[in-house]
Amino acid sequence: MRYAPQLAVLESRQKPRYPRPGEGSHCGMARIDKIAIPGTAILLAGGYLVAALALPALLPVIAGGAALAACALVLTRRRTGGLAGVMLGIASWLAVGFAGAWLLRAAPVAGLGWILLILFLLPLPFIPWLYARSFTLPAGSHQDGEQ
Amino acid sequence: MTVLLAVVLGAAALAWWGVRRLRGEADFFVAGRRAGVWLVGVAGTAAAVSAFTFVGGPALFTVVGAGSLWIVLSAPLTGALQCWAVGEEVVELSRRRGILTVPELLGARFDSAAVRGAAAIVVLVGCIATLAVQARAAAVLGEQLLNVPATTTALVTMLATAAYAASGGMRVSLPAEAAQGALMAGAAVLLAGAAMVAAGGPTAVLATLERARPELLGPFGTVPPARAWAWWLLFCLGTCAQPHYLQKFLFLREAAALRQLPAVLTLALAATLTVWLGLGLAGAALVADGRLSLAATDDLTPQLMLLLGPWAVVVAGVAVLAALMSTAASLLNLAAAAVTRDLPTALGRTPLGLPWARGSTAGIALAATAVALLSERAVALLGIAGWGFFTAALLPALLVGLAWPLATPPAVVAAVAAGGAVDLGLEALRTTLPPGLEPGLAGAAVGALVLVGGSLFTRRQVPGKGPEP
Repeated sequence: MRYAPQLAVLESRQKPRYPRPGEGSHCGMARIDKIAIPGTAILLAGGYLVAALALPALLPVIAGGAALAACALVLTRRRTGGLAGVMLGIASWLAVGFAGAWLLRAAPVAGLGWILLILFLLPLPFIPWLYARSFTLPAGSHQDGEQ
Repeated sequence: MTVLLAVVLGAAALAWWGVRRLRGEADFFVAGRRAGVWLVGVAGTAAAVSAFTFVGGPALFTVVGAGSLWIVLSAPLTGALQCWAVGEEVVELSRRRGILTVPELLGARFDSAAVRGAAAIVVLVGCIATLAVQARAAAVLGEQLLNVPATTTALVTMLATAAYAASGGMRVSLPAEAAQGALMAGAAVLLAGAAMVAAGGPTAVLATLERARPELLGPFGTVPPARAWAWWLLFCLGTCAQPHYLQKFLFLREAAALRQLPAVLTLALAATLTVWLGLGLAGAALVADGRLSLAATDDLTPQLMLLLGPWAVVVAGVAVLAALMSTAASLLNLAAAAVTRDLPTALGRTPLGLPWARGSTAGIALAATAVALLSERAVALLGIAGWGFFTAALLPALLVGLAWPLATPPAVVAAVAAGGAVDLGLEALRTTLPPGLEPGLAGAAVGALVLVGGSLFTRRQVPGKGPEP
């Protein structure tokens, strides 16, 4: 991959986030992430295929787990107690929402009301608010005009 | 015909403005990287909301009831999810390296022309399929609502979009998409409310459906729960793999704008999605009452608008046109970038210039319109296939690949190829699949396994560099 010369100079001044292929491990990355990311990916990807083909009752667990794991990728960049709490909150919301939908599967109007209220309307303002509260710019992040 | 004429005039004015304002490739592909959070958020939602939301979604509700809502129930989470999972990383990487396209981003991350080329092929194929959905929706809209021949509507709409997308690129398309997004959100709330009133109000609608078709009102409607969970997951995680969503992160003026982006995305999306629920519930009740009869499920929105009156026909026509034009403009830009920048660079050549990008924008619009007019599949199925293809091919590379530094380029290329192939193969067998097996998700799952396994295997091939524990 070739870059414009000025970009190559700029890159050389910065500590790379990623190692080049074949290079050693990422210096700033916690050891647990090296196992957790591929381990979770294998667990969820394999789990989905097994659940979809043979154990459909596992699908809500896989669906909630996969969404949560994707959100939790932020923890590989910044780990704070607040963010961990947000992830726990999202996990609880998904568990309650999915479980309620399953329990109300034979209740027509109540079932519709549950998914609209618990899975859609209630979290609408909260999740963006939680994101905004937990957002921090990483140290040395690139702001306007720094390209 | 008046609506189409207004579209042509508006597009011509935008094209003229675009030719005068465009300053270079950064303007064309990333709107000069000067956009604020409201512009990016509303335009992002406009690009995300296709004609499927106005036509296919409510029609699906009349068939499977609340089960269809699992496609959109992840909306409260997806804005934050995109930022947490990929957005922050995309913004950081793109600003550090001056990146203009999504395949370029992946190529830069892995320092690999092959990764960039594979991603560009996926973007090109997926964009043409998704553009075909928009063109087909335009054809349905023209025939059912505007009383204009289907071919004429599809051609005029796509070429009008191509005109301003080619002349001004995202410099023009971004503000146009934001305006279209605001218009869509307002029209969606208005039409949903009017449809509910015409059907007798929410209480009467629910009472009618509870009496005539109670199966539609359960939390899963008539959809097997396994399929509902799979739809939720596909349209939740899939937001992280749609290039027209990711493209918007490249436009941001400053990284700090990410803080408010999920709120803007969620607000705009929630407003627009009211049309799915409102038209779906009201339409199903009116059909159950015998006040509305449909020859095909995709006829629901046009028939319901005719019932509401001429004003609704105009509002819905404008909203659907805005939905499909905003999505089409982003996709045209992405496909043109793949053809003129990413593929030549992946092949070791110099990127083609702006004149080529403009020409290919028009060519791709024509190709997608031809695919749409020759296709016999319903809008809803095409919509799921396009979304699923991007999810299958790109999700592993974007979620696992961006976050896991030990991912290797050969494994990423293999994952992209395997994911896309599995999705396309399973789409051909869709009717025989178990309810929880969505081709897009299955492709992404296989791609993730290939990426992790392949990375561990290929790292072992580097002398002295065994896989990290």
